Amino acid sequence: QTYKWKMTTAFPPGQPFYSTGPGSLTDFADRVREMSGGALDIQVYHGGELVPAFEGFDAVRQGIVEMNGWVSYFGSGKVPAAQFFGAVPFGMSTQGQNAWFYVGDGIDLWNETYEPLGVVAMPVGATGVQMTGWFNKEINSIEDMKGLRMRIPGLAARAYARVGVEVKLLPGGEIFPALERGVIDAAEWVGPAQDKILGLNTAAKYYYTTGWHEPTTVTELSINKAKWDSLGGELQAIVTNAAAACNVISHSWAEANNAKALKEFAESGTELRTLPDDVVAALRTEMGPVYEELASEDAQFKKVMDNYFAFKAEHDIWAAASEEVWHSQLRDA
Amino acid sequence: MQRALAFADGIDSITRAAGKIAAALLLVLVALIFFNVFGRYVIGGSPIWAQELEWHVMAPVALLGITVLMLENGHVRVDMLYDKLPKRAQHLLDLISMLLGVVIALLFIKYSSGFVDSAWSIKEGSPDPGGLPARYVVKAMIPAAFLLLAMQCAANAIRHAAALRGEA
Amino acid sequence: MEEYLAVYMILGFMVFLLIGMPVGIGIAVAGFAFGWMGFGDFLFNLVPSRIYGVVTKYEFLAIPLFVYMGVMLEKSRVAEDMLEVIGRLSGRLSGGMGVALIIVGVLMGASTGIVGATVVTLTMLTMPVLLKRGYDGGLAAGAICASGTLGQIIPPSLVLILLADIMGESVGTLFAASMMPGLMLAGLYIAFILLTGKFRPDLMPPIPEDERAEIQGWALARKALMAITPPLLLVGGVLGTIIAGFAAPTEAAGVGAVLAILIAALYGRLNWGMIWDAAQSALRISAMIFFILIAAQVFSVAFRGLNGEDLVQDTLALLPGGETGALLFLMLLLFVLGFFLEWIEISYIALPLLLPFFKMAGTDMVWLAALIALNLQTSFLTPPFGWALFFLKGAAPPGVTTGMIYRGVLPFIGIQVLALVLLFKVPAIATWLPNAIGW
Ligand code: NA
Ligand code: NA
Repeated sequence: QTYKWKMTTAFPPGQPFYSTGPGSLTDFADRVREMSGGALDIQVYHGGELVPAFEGFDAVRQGIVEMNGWVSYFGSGKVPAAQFFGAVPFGMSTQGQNAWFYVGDGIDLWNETYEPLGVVAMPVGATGVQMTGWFNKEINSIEDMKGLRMRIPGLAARAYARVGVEVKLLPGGEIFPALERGVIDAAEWVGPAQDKILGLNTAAKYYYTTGWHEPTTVTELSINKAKWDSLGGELQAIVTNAAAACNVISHSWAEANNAKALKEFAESGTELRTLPDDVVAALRTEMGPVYEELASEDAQFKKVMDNYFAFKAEHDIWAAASEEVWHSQLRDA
Repeated sequence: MQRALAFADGIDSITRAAGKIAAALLLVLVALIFFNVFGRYVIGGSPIWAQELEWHVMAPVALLGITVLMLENGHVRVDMLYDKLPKRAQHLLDLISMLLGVVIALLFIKYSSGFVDSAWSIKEGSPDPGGLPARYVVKAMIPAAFLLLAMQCAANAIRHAAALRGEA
Repeated sequence: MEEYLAVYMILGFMVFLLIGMPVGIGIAVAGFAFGWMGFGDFLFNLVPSRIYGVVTKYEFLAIPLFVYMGVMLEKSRVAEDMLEVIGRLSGRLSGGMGVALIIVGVLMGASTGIVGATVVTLTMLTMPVLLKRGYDGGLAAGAICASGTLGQIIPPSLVLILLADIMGESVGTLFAASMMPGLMLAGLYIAFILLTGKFRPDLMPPIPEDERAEIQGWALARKALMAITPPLLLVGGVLGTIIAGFAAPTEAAGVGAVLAILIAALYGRLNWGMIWDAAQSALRISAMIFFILIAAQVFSVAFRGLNGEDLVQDTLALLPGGETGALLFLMLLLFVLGFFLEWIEISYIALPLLLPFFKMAGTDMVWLAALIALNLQTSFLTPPFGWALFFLKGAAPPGVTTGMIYRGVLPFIGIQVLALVLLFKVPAIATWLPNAIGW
């Protein structure tokens, strides 16, 4: 039996990492087609092509399309707990996040969270550590955050707002002109490779690291549950493995291309800065009550949050003894 | 036919009321955007909800306006042939167009059910903290507005039918 | 098989249009009817989310806001006064007001990237005056449609943003790249108007001698100052807020609406009734645009459901080898598709398939993007389905017929083709500015 499926995505067609090239959603569909000998043929529709960028998930819920690719936090207005499967402010980077997904309870909790919606989900991409963003004002202390106009969506925006940042929502296409003209002072997008495509390096002088708000951002593959159950074990295994492969390959693409882009930025006059310690500390402090408030409002949010941070606490010990030491002692040696 | 025409009058007055609401919302929209721009410089920022409110308000303006314009037979058409048709033929064509208008408005409502239900069942709100909590209401405006459009197209159809029978 | 239904659907829409059905109803009926024949009704469940996308699209806020500004300026007769004075200042020269119209189109185009907003605003502001002054209706309509769509190639622009997304280029680079082609196009429009004025002054007569004699010298200068200052203030306000970074382009449209109210007040022409009446008119004109945009969603879903993209893909098999041949083929294909499809569909369907070829061939992507943008802009103008033509019709005074508009836009389509040829021959028109300013 052959299946002809549709997959919507939240991303514009020409975006490497998300839409074209190694580890992208198109690459995922190609791999599935090839591995299944054409038995599962997924046609990819990019953001806005079949439905508006953020409406694909609902189309999956209704079974009008079978699959959707986006980031879980886009759906946090539908299911607050979805936040933890997308990007977690002050959460784990890719290695820890994947460990939680594949070996910890991550994917099980994800499916449990989506159960009432009739959707199953799995990771299909990872950006790795993102950047704080592009700034036209220097940030030397927490005082400099007050009144700063910044384009920043999502959960982290609330911590920014609590330290006095003026949060501005803007669609992707308006970020460049707004930053270039000074309508906003700062903007967050993804990482060097993707930011370069938006041209943000020509619109702002300072490039701040690191992405405390998105230590990694996971691309979600959402699948209509009834359609998924109808696939049969063999095709399910192919989908699961292709998604896991793309999760790794997309991250590898980002690692390689972020390096290239960052080098180009440095050569063309971008000033790379690190967010001052007091700013990070203040943001960490302000993130606490944000998490607490959301957890008090939603039981599933609390359940996933507790599981996530318990896993993180344990993983941190190993990360501190391994990666951290490698970075500080060996990497530059 | 008299009863049908009275029904059409009733619908017209509902549409006129909707038109007043929509025009008022359009003024709100102008004021809101002005506030959001100047708020940044005068009172140090405009809240996320006020930014989202911009397009929350645009949705009813756009949707209700369609019906208001339908009442006034104001939607754009290619007039090359239409203007040359005798009056009766124009009424016949308009009668058919309005009946088709009823059909497509009802189809929009039919196809909205899953879309609205999936938002309504989970009381979908904004994914941005501090955003507006009732995105499901905006989504539900779509079938509501098309119900109004269906009724107005029906009212228009009644008038064209009456005109064809020489009763208007 | 289903692909042919896509062709019949286009023909069906054309028939519904020509017999005089409202555009929105005609396009939705064609979509539903042929969609059902081809694939049943399942996919139509996607239509509501697309409608939601239209009525909540942030960039579309410019439609009601810009239209409100236009209505307010019309009611306070600010634009009328300006055009009249320009007509007087032009003396015996034919087409002075036409030239002014193109310049206003450029300024509006630099303030927003939504074609519906610019075309209807220009129509309201200029069409009645031009007709009153004896301009040929078709020519005036053509000039308004053409300069009203300039905003699509002069940044900011939705077309350029989508092209940047599809081509993987920076939005800023494409904005810079299409600036000069946009201005060149405006220049060509102006040249055409001046030439037409020279050889066919009857089509755009100057203001009669005796009427001009009424006001001259200092009196005229003072009147000119009075009439041109307010629109300049407004343009300065809208463009100024964008350039100075006070507001994003979409927000600047809101600033423009408020400024239009203030200008009316400044001239002592404002009353409360006017603010309310303007809202009533703006509601209707915006709704005219939105109904077409919404109903077109049915058509788009049906086109994809009927695998209409296969038709385009089959054509691509004819792509000749060699960069120049392939480029010419692409330009011709986009131009022809523009007659029947919306630019969004064209971009999503044709470009992703073709771009890899041009990347391999080493074509300059920035230049290619400018060529594509210029070409897609034309699709707003080409009969029978050019959206700009409908938008103009919906906002024009009663005497303006579709026939006039279809006829009037033809020379401007010719100018578009000329501009394409120039850009094809001289890529630097597009590539110079981005390099110069480093975007
Ligand atoms: Na523009
Ligand atoms: Na066209």
